[in-house]
Amino acid sequence: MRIFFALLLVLAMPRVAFADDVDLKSAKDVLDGFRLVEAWRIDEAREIAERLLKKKPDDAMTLALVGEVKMHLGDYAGAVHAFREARRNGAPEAALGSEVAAEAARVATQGYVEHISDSFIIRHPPGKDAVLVPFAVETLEAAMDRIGGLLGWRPKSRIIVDVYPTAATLAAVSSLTKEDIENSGTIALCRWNRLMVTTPRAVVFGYSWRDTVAHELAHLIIGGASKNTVPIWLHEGIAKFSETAWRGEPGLGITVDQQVRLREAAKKKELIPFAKMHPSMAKLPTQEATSLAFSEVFTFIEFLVEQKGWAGMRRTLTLMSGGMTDAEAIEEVHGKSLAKMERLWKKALLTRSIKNDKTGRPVKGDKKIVLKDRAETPDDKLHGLSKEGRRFARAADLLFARGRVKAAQRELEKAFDATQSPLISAKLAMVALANGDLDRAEKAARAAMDGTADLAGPNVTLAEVFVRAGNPSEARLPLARAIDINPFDPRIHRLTLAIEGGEGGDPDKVAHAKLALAYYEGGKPSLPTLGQGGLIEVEGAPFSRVFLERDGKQIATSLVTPTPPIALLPGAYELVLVPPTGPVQRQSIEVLPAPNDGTPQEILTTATGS
Amino acid sequence: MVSFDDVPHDGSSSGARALFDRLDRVRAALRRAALVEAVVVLVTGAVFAVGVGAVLSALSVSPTGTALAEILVLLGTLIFVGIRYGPLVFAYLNSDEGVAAYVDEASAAAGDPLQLLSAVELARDRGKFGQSELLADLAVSDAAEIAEAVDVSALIRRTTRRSLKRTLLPLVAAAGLIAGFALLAPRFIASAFEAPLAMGTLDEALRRVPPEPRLGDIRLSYRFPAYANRAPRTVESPSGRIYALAGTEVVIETSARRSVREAALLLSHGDQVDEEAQQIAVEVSGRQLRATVVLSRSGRYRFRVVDVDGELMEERRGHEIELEVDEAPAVTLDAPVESPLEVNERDRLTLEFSAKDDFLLGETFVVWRVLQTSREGRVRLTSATNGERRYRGQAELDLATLQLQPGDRVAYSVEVRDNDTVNGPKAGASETKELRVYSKKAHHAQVLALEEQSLDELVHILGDNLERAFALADDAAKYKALLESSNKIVERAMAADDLLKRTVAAIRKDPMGRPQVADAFEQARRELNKATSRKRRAVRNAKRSFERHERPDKRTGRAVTRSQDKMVTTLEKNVVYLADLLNDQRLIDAEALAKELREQQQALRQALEDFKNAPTEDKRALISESIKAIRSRIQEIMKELAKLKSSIPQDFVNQDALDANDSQEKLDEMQRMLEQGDLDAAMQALDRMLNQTEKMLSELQGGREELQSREYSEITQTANRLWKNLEEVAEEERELAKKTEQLSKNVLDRMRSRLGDPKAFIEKQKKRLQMAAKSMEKVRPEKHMPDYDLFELTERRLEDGLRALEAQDFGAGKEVLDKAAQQMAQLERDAARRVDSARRYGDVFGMSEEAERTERALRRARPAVDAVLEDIESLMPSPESLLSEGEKSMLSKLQKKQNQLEKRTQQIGQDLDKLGQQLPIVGPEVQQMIGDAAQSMQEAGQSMQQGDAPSALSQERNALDKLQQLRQELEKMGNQGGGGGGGGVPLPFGQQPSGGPEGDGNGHDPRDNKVEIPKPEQYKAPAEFREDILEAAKQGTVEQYKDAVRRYYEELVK
Repeated sequence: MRIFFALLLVLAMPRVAFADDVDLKSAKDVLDGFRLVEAWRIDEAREIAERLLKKKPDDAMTLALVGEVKMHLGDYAGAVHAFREARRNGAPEAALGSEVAAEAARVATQGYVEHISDSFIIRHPPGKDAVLVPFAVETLEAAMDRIGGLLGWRPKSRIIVDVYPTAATLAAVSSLTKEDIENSGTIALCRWNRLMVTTPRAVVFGYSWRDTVAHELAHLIIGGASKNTVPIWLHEGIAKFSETAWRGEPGLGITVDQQVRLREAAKKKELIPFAKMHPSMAKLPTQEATSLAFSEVFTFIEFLVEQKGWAGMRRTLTLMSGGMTDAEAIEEVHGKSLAKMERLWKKALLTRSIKNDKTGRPVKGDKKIVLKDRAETPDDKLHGLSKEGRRFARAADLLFARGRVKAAQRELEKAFDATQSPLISAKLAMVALANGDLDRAEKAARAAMDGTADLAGPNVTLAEVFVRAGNPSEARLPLARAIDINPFDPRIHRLTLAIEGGEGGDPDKVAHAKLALAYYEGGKPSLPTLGQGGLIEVEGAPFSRVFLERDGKQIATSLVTPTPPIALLPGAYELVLVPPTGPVQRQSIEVLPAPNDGTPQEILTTATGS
Repeated sequence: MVSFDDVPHDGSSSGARALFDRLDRVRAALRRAALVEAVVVLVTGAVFAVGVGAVLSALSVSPTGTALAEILVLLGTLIFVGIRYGPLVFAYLNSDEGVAAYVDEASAAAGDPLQLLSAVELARDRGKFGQSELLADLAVSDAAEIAEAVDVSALIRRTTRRSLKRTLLPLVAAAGLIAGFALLAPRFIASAFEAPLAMGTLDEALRRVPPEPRLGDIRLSYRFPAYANRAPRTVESPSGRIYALAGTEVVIETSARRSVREAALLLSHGDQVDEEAQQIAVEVSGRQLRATVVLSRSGRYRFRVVDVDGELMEERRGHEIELEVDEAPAVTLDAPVESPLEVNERDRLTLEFSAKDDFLLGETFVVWRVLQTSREGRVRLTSATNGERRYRGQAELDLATLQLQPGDRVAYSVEVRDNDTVNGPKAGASETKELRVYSKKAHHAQVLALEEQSLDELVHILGDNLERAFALADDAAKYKALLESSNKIVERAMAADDLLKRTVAAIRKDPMGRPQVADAFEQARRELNKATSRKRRAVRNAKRSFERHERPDKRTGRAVTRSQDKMVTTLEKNVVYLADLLNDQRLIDAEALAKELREQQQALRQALEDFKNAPTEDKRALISESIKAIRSRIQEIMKELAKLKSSIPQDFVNQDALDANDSQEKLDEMQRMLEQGDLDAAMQALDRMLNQTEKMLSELQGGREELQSREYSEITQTANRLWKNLEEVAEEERELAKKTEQLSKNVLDRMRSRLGDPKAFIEKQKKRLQMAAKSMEKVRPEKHMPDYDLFELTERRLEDGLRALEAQDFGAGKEVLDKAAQQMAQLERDAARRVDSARRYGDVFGMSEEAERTERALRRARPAVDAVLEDIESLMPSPESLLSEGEKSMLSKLQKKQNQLEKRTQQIGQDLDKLGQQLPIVGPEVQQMIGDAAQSMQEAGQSMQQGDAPSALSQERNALDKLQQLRQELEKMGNQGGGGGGGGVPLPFGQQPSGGPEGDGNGHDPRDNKVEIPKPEQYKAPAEFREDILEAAKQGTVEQYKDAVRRYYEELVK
């Protein structure tokens, strides 16, 4: 909203923006464009920018809007270029507010590779994160379909999903600090019309990243559906409640433990007020507080949906997009004030039955996310267990470290008997498997999964037990659960090869497993680069994502049309344009050596869809 | 021509064979004669060549020309010999016809012609042309017979002698020529020989060289350089060869045949005559020539003279100058022999060495180099070698001056120089040896490795017990195998004892280690021994039973299982604790390293600042060295942290999520910036590194606290609680003692007032005691006698009793003298027993008389002591009678309080016992202390019940002393009871002082600090020391004397 009001101020002073020829129509278009950006309606803003580009391509405010739209389409370099051009042409600073973020994103994501699906462009640093791509596409497409359907809105253009290698990168490109991220466990964000996700390999044991990306997508849909008018608590509530829809039903997003803790908090009247959840859940002081807040808003949405169904939720959002506040919209839909609804929900919490997800899938936010760990600090995962149990477990550690694996298993069995700890059970499963004791490994893995669904390890162990026992088809489900948490565990891909490598297996999965293992073993596929010598600018239908193909290899430019000058090797290329919507366009081009005066070669796209 | 081989030999022609045999002999003789002649011709040619050479030299032909002439003569001779004798020897004499013809010719010349040639031809052509073979054979046989009859050798001698005579004539002539030269001008002969050697060094063979002057013998006067310490010397030398040290001044004198107008001496270096030789002026006086040279190099010298007629003459080869070699000193390093030798960086190292030189020795140095670094140097060891030709001695090297660092490896050798002042001193060095600077760190690392090894062994013994667990089995074979397996475990555990002992000893000697860790290992060793003994007994019993009954026995089998379970429990407890102690130690070590790193980084920062302000190459080099040192320190820290044992992962760990240590990259980056001259950026990078180090330090400290709070928080809480209880009990006991003291003081005061002036009484008792002591002194046994100790103790107690009486402390005096009397009685009994024994069995050791004397002396002395005791007893009424009713009531209350405190103390003991079961940190001493404290409290209560406040006070102080000791032991845990914070694993306490068998006795048992009771006259306490004295009285005194001593001091200071 800040930008919007600033712009109003600017437009009220015609001397700057349109000093020579005050074109009220264009001014209104620009205002509408910015307003739509604020309202998370990027597609509509993009259409306005397209129109303005045709009419007044060099106009400062047009360029500012183009920069904003490019930023929201994930073309950070293009956005920075446009903002700079806009400044040069006299645009006020207020209209260039996203420039810093665009520059940060440009620096952070330089050299990222891109994968395109029907509705998404997934970008990640070259290397291991390619392992995520097919799973991410599967998750996101399903989530777009299901959550978009539930909330009644879907974006028209492809959504950018940036996968960052560390939480520090997420901090660098977002408004959050590293401390915020570490304290709250925030690992993904939705802002600037894109999903920003930290790769699970940046987390020691991984995290339920598939629900997380679905959750962030839900935010994007909520923002679009409501024109970004939904307060944070409601935003998070709906997103949290709908995040599991991609893999089945919504409303599976909190664990039994979280439900129990919520009930206890409700009994003790220690619930966090919705107002305290502003401006971000990530700003809450601890991960425990964040977890409780999510449980609260989750169950409140559950309560609302139980009252009026998803149609009621859609109507609430629509009403809010029309200008109503959250309280007004809820009162309009439910016939009771928000305060009344809140009281009813709190009352219902005390008697709400604890729901258990039978699928055994991990739940986002259940586990404290460990972003970084010190290799030298001892393991503290057994905190809170009995002294005796801890002693057995630690004796097992000492034995295991000295190659006494059988003895270690004996100690872990004693430790498990003494504590019934799922974490010890997870260790026992691994050690028993190493000893070839399949029965014990299976029992221990199941016990571990019953106790904690957020570990990939027991699932992998169970899958391996099935494979070793000659029952590979049963291994698929535990493997899928493991992928939900940590697809970087190489055992997953080895087992996938064992399961899918035979007759009737899925060749795509086999190929992907091989790729993943190649990354694990240090193989780095060579990537083509743009090079130097030639200089082109791609014009044509605006806001199409630009790729180049050379020798059959695709090179992502991370730019959208119209592009700033692109330096690349002279020679023949296939220009591939991916418009925000619709079919991909291809065109053969010849890049000439750049002239001495540095004038870029203009490429005007003429080709139509292929 | 026909050879013998061509002749058909069929055996039928024996005449032919005889003929040819004869011819062969002639041929050999002819060849010998020809060869002799050829050699004579060659020798003649050679002699002639020398003669020609001499003649040409005399004619001043250049050496090259002379050489060419000589070569030509030689070559001509060779050609002549080849042509003359070659065909004769190798062709003519090879044919039978030739030989036959020679014989025919020689015989004809002698007047008795033979026809051997015809015979040879007949034999050759036998039957070839149809002639009669028989006739031919006959003719040949005839010829052979005739030839046989003729003395062919004489024929040959006759013919060859003539020829030889012709040849010898020139030889004689040539030899005569040479002899002439040799007699008249031998140098021309030498020139003739040397001329071919000069080939190539001189050109212009036909150029005329100046004639050689005719000079007389050369006189050489040497003045040696001072350092050689040699007297001047003069020699006459026909060859003029100079042989001396470099730096020697040589005066060369000679005389010419004719008067000389001017002359010069040409000095050339090397063996050859140098055209560009250095010219030295020659003093000329008529025919006398005199030149002075200072030798610097070897070479030759020649005279060049111009005679009075102006003719230039010049020696060609001249005279040799050879430099005498001045050898470097020979040095031997005799001690230290050990290499590498471990030293401390501040040691003074004694070096024994010997050195000798062909002249004189100079100073002695030690040359050193720190291996794998650029640090090296040379320090003067001694000047004692100066001026000596031989030296054997020792000198001290102060290693502190080398600024070595712990862990350095230093190569060193002794270097002795000679006194060569001409070419500079030459140095001789001993063999190189190595020093290793003792490094506390390296030693500590070795100790840690030993700890790790011990821990490994304990873990493996635990693993064996778990993996080869004994269980009752019905199958006899299986049961037997299990017993065997258990036995092996027992053997392994027994073998581990030695390793653990070594570990304990090593930890105690480790200056960087903590003694409590040694206690922990010692405790683990004891517990393992105990568990092993139990298991060994159980296994042995089970085996015996099995062997007896040949079937498994349930009872003994169960005992094995129980002993095994006990061993497992003990090991589980100990290995986990020891592993934590090791991890804790590694964190401490890493923290220390990180602190060093911080200091180095700060120093580097300062160095960067300096460099920025005034850049120099030296500073840049210093910075590079610093970066290198920091790099190495970082690696050390990483190495240390990598040793922390990890746990079994519960899941696959994403390595990318772990903090990558990029310090090395930062260093690389900083170095690059330095190289690029971007000092500001380098400084910023260093600041970032410093921040990182600070973070690391805080994390390491946090790591220790975390380890403590995670694993030992409950233990710490329990210990804290115990500590608090102990403090409370001690405080209350102190209060109790204070109150009791007041009552006791009242009793003693009343007793003293009842006594009145005790001087006469004391004097009387003193005399008695002195008499007793004198008696005893007379019979004091030798030190080696068994009763010596008791005797001495008794004497000391008598002395103490005497002092107590002087201090008017009759209670203490009575107490001490009581014990003295008992001991005297004991000594008396022992003496009587020895006397009796001698009477019965004979005086085997010859000590009967002495025993009798002892017995008598003691019998005399003891009544005196008894009398003193009786007198004191009569003076002292029962304490109870000296108390008022109110005081009695107070004492009763105090008794109740004392009983409560006793119970609380016992409870603390029980709690400590429980703590010990959880963690092997409570040593056996603790229970002893607690037991003693409770016992003293109980006795104090009993004394109170009897109304004896002074005795109660004594026991209370006993109890306090034990509680104090217990407190000190608990403080060893390091972080309990307000003994200091800091986290970390709680350390063991209450172990036996210097516990291990190899203990170094550095325990801090306060009981070791005995306090001597001074005599009153020995001590005049200044007022300012009063407090100190009182404090000293409170501490560390043998408890039984504490009360007496304390009051005694009080009296003294008053």
